[in-house]
Formats: sequence, C-alpha cells, structure tokens
Amino acid sequence: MSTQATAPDINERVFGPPLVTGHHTPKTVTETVSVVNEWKTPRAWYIAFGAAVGGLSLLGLMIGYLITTGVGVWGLNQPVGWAWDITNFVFWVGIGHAGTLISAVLFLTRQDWRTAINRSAEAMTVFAVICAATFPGIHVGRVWLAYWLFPIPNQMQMWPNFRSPLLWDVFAVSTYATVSILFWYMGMVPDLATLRDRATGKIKQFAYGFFSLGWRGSMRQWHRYERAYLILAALSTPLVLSVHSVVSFDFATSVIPGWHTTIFPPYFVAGAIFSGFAMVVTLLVPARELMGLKDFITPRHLENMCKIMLATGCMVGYAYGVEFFTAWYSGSKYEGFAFINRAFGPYWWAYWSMVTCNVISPQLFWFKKCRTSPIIMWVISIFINVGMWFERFVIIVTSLHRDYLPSSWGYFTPSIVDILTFVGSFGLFFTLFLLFCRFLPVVAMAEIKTVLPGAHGSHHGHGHAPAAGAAHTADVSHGHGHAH
Amino acid sequence: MSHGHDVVDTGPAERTHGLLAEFSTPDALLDASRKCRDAGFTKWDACTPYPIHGLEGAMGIKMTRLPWVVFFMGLTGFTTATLLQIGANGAFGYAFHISGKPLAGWPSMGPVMFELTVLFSALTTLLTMAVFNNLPLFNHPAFKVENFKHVTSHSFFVIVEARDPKFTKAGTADFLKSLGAEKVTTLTEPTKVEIPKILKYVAIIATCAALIPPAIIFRARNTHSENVKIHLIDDMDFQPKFRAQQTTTFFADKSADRLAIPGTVAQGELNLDDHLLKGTVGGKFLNGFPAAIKIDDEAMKRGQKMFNIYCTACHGLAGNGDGMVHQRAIDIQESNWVPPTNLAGETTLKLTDGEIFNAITNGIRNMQPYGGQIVPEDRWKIVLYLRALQKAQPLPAKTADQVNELKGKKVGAN
Repeated sequence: MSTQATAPDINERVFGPPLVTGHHTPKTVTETVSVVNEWKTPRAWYIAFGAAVGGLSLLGLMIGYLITTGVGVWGLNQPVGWAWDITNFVFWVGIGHAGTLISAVLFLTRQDWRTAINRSAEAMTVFAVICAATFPGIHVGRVWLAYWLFPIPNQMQMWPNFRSPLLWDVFAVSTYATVSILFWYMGMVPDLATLRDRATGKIKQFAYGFFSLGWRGSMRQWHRYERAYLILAALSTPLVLSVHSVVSFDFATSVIPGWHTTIFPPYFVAGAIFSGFAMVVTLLVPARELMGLKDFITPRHLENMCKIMLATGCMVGYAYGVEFFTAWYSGSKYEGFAFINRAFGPYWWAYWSMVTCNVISPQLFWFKKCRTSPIIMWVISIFINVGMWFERFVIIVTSLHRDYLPSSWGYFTPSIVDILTFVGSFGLFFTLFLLFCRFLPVVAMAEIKTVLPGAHGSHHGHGHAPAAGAAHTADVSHGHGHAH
Repeated sequence: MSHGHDVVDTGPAERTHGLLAEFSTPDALLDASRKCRDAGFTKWDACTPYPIHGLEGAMGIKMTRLPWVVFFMGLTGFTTATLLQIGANGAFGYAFHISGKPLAGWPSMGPVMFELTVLFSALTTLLTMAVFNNLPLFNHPAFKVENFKHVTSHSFFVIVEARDPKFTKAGTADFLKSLGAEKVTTLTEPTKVEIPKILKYVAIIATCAALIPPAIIFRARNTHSENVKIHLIDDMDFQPKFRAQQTTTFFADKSADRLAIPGTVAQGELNLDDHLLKGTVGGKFLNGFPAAIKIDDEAMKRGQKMFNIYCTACHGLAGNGDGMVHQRAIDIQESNWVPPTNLAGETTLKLTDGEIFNAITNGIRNMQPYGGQIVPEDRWKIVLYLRALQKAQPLPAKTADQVNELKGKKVGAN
C-alpha cells in the first residue's frame, strides 16, 4: 500500500487540484449550500436589493415614457436607426451565452469543474436573456403591436416574413430563452427537493414542494433524469452556438459596409462566450466570498474561467484584425472606408476603448498571478464587460453613421433616456439575480455530491486512479472520475 | 414506472405499501441493490441524494425509451417549421414578394427549422422525463417517514413494494435487515381523499365554458360576414394624420394642405424651354420644330406609332376624321355627334406646327387634352407624322383631272 501516500500528488499532477476543497461529505455539502437560503436575510442583501429595485423602477419609468411618447425620446435618428437599443440587446444576449455553454458544452466535454458554477451561470443566462428581450420589444415603435413578431393566425391573413433574419432572431432568442429556463429548472428539481425537506415554514414547504414535483431521489427516476439531462445538453450545445450566429445574421445579411461579412457568426459566438464568462467572474468572485462557497468555487474554477477568457479574447482580437484584412482584400472602397473610419473616424474613442478592454486587458491572464488573484481577475472582467458593450456599439453605430451619401452622414449622441434605460436594465438583472441568491439553490448540490471522493462506492472505478485497488480510499480519490 | 396505484383500497384498514430500508453509505446501498436484484425482486427501488454510477447496473435498470420519444418530437418540430414557413410565405397566407426572393427558399428556412426542432425536442425531454417518472407525485408513502427527509441530503434507501410477488412482510423485512439496513420501516398507502362532488360539477361547467371561445372563432373563420373585421388595436384604421383638403387648427389658414413655398421648383420641373413644352416662340405659335426634336426616320416612326395609339380612334388611320368612334356614332345615329376634324382638311392645313402641338397638349373644342398622357417629345413627333399624312393625301378630283390632262398631253407629246 505504499502508493497510498503518493497517490494524491499523482492525482494533482495529472488532474489538477481537487474540485472540492475542505473535508466535505454529502451532508456538509447540503448544509453549506442550503444555509445560503436559510440564514436570516443579511442587511447587505437588503441594501443591494433596494438599489437593484431602484434600477428596475427606473427601467419601468423609462419604458413607460418611451411608450407614451415615442422612440423620439432616444437619441437615434437617420442614418443611425439602430443605436443603444440594439447594442444593449446584443450585449445582454452575449452575456447570456456563458450559462448554457457551461451547462451544456462543458457537460458534453466532461469538464467536471462546471458542477460548482453551472447553476449560477444558468441563472445569469436566463436573467440576461430577459434583459436582452426587453430591448427589441421596446424599440419597435408601436410596442403594442410587438406580437406581430410571432406567427399568430389573424383575421388579416398576414404572417411575418420568414425570409428575414429579424424573424429568425425572434425564433432563436425565444427558443434559447425557453430551453435555458427548462435546463435550469430541470437541473434544480433535486436541489429544490433538498430545500423542501429542510424547510421549516409552511410557505417554503409548499413552494419548494410544488416546484420539486415530489422528487424523492429514486434511482429509476435518476436514470431517466440523467438521460434527459444529457439530451438537453446535446440539444443546447448547437443551440448556444446558433443563437449568436443568428443575431449576427441581422447584420451580416445586410449590405451595409462593416456589417456585410461572413466572419460574423463565429466572431459573435466567440465574443458572446468571452463576455458571458466575464460576467460570471464579475458575479461569482464576490458571491463565493459573501455566501461562503469557497470550498466549491475554488481557485481552480476561477483559473479555468480566466483561461477561457484569454482564449476567447484572443479570438475576438483576431476577428478585429481579419475584418481589416478582409476590407482591404475585398478591394471595395466602401468597405475600406468603413474600417478606416471605425478606427480613426469620429468614433475612434469607442474603437480604441474596445481594443484596450477586449484585446489588451485579457493578455494579463498569460500570467498565473493574474489568473489566480480574485481581485485582478474581477477588475479585468469588468474591463471585458465594458469592452464587449463597446464592441457592439462600434459595430452598430460606426457602420451606420456614414451612409453611402455624404449628405446623409450623421453623428449619434445618446439621450438621457437612452442612458437611464441601459442603467435600468442592470436593475432588472440584479433584482432577478439577488432573488435567485436568496430563494433558490445557488450551487448544484446533487451534482457536487457526485464529484466528492467515494461518492460512487469504493468498488466503483474512478477511471483515473493510478493504482487501481490501492488508491481507492476516500482520502485519496479526488472525485475526478465522475463520468456521465 | 416504478410505482403504480392499482392496489384497491378495500377498507378503512391501512394497506401496506411496502418496506423502507435505510443505508448510510453508497457501498452498502450498492451491495444491497445487487442482492435485491439477485433475489428476484421486481417492484423495488433505491433512493439516493445523487445519481450513483454503477447503481443502475446493480439494480438491473434497463435503458429508458425516452430518447426515442424526443427523436420523434424533434422530427415533428422540423416538419412543423417546414410546413409553417411554406404556408405562411404564400400557401395559406398573403404572399410577400420581397426582392424577388423565392417564396419557399430552403436556405432561408434553415434557422427556423433548426430552432423549432430544438424547441420541440427540449420541451418533450422535460415532459417525457416527468411522465415516465410519474412526476409530479406529492403523496408518496415514503414522505411520511421522518428519516426519508435525508434522502435529498445524505441518506440512502431501498423500498420494496408489497405488490412484488416475492414480498412477505416479515420475510422481506428480515431480508433487508440481513443486507445491513440500519432501520426498516413499514410504508402505508396514503388514504384516498374523495373529491367533493361540487368540484366535479364546477370542472364540467368550466370545461364546457372553455369550449365556447374556440367555437366562436371556428364559426367566425368559416362563415361570411358583412361587418368590418375587428382589430383589437385599431391604430391602423384610425391613424393620427391629415388627408388632403382636411381642416386643422394647427396652421393659421386652417388648411391641412401645405402649398409649395412661392418660387420653389421641384426636381426636374424647371421647364424653361417654351418651344418644346408649350409650342410657342416669344409667346406666338409658329411653324417649325424645337431644337430638341431631331427630325429623322426614327422620329417619323415614333410619331406614327403614337398617332396610331392615341389619335386614330377618332381621326382615323389616314387622319380624315373617320375613326372607329366616328363610324360607331354614325351607325347608332348619335343625334348630337360632332364629327372629328379631318386633319387633312383646310382647317388643319392652315394651322401652324405650334398650334397643332397646342391642340394635342391642351385639347381643342370637344377634344380632350393629351398633355398628361404623351410626353412633349412624342407630341412633336405626332405633329411631324401628321404633316407627312397631310402631304400623302389623295389630291382633290379637279386637280386630278388636270394632272391626267397634263399626263395625257405629255404622253401624246411623246
């Protein structure tokens, strides 16, 4: 049994640090996570929630003002017909990509480290998509006719134009929202049952009981549940790649110089993953401190996310370069002008803000110190969030403000309503996220338990164990072998 | 499905649902499960806080058919998207012809096909999982056992149901204890709660009432009505705008019409060439064509074409005033018919080119103006062709005799 002593080191060297630190058992996992929903609501939560609801009210006021007055309250006008409304839409949809990517793509690729962060990332996805859906809904002018976006049989025999990318967008975003909610909810059912079984108040017992559907952890149910979860992951994987591709079609299928490029779908998807992970880091770095979840959301998780941000940041940097190359190589003077104007025209400040935040700042993640320091990565994640907003602004506004006819050229300046609506959308996002933190299981408890040492019995193969039979005590297996 | 409720509740005595055995480690549960499987039990289950891998094999669970259901519903989603798009783009809706794109082009149908396939599949996945798992089920007998609350946290259980053919209350309890169960509890069937009769009636009435709106819609869609179609939101019917000739209090003159600012000229309407556009030179109608009209064979042919289109109905192919309209008026003996002018006659021969152009442009006597229908260049070409027609007319009889006489003399002289 001499291997027993060295097995942890071998494990760490081959498979990285453990997924769960501290000495956790299923019972302590339940307690550590559930207590977030059970302790007395901290004052900090009330303060944060008050601020968020303030932002939400602001959003409501701004939307009310917009509907009663008209889209003239925004700063957009010809030739810039799309400005902050669509910028904010693409910004929020992009953020809404990390959740499903973590849940589905990392699930299929058997990245076990996803288990600690998938729940909150999925919640973030759902809330970001809700924020995103607000903007196309309110920018249509006659908001009360927004239902015309959907193919509803009507007395006029009129249907939406199915050959328009804007209609594809309606289908893509609404399907994505639905599937994200299903995926999130289904993953939560066993954990809601945990909260049900721990709940003391009548209201909580009823609410958690209702939504956990009477889940009792039957293995025959788990069998179908896991199969269903795998199928949802397999469905969501192409879906998450398709959503931002379809969003990019809104631009790419037009003939506007600066929009009409075939690189848009992969470029948008890379940007979406980039911004989504940045938002996950922005939320989880403080959340793991405040909610005592450091044992589950370990430095290893944070470092992995930094690596993804570095990779996707390099991809968007490459895309920025290729856009210039393509504009030059096309030989089209309009394309060439659009890109030179982007970098050196009236919106040069937006372009270089974007490059600084999105391409230069993530390069710090080449250094291990930056990948492991929560403060540094949090600051960089904020930079990335800002940069990705600027990316959408640059793509949309700089391509529009120079029309083919120089007499139609213009310059977009946001109105106060534009700005407050955007600020208000953060209020909506944080209101939902704070409610989630208070009332729903913030970490997938049942999934975490499957990656604990010895979770599947001492005779169950752990796949990676260097000396089978020798290294199978609870102390040495780090639970990497959780294979679905 | 692991639980059925085919056990009829025969009396007030509580019926045994089965036995619940608690285990503290996954190892113990795996071991117990293998033994339950090997002992030949069929109606039994293991409950765990998380899916234990290897337990499916230990229990002998067969692969679920759920993926097949999802697959077929995915195909249904794809088919729905295809039919919806073909239909909405023309087959059962108003056909939008946009930029010459085909009404049902496959490439543009791709995204919606994909999205609906995924949407149908995902909804089916969750619903089928719930249905196959017999969820929601809020009154499972195990929920009455206090310790069973730990099943969602850290405890492991085996349930053997009374309807299993091998089940005997004492024998199975001993068997479970021999597997290392820490505690074995008897589960009792939940007592059936009778639904109050009033609720049944309410449900029947509500169901019938729910059928009324679809029936109204069905009738409305399949019958004819003289009434204006209902728009829930009527701002397409009543638009906040002014039409021509309407009054408004907004402008001082109370007219919604805005006249052009004096002195402004619309694009392409400067109209400085009086000769070309009005037929006048220095305010007088003269003979001769404007400089913009190039007189050649092509202009003559164009004039002939325009004359044949616009003028022959009344004036006739030769311009003699015997067109089809005139002949018809004679046939039906129209009492107040004013015959069209013979364009080869004295009256017209005396007119200048400018006066003929003016007559075409603005009309003359009971002839309508043609300035709105024929562009100025073509009107001049009609004048050109008319002059040619006049020259080509047969000579008056007297003159013809004189010509023959001259011809005869000439012939005689030869």
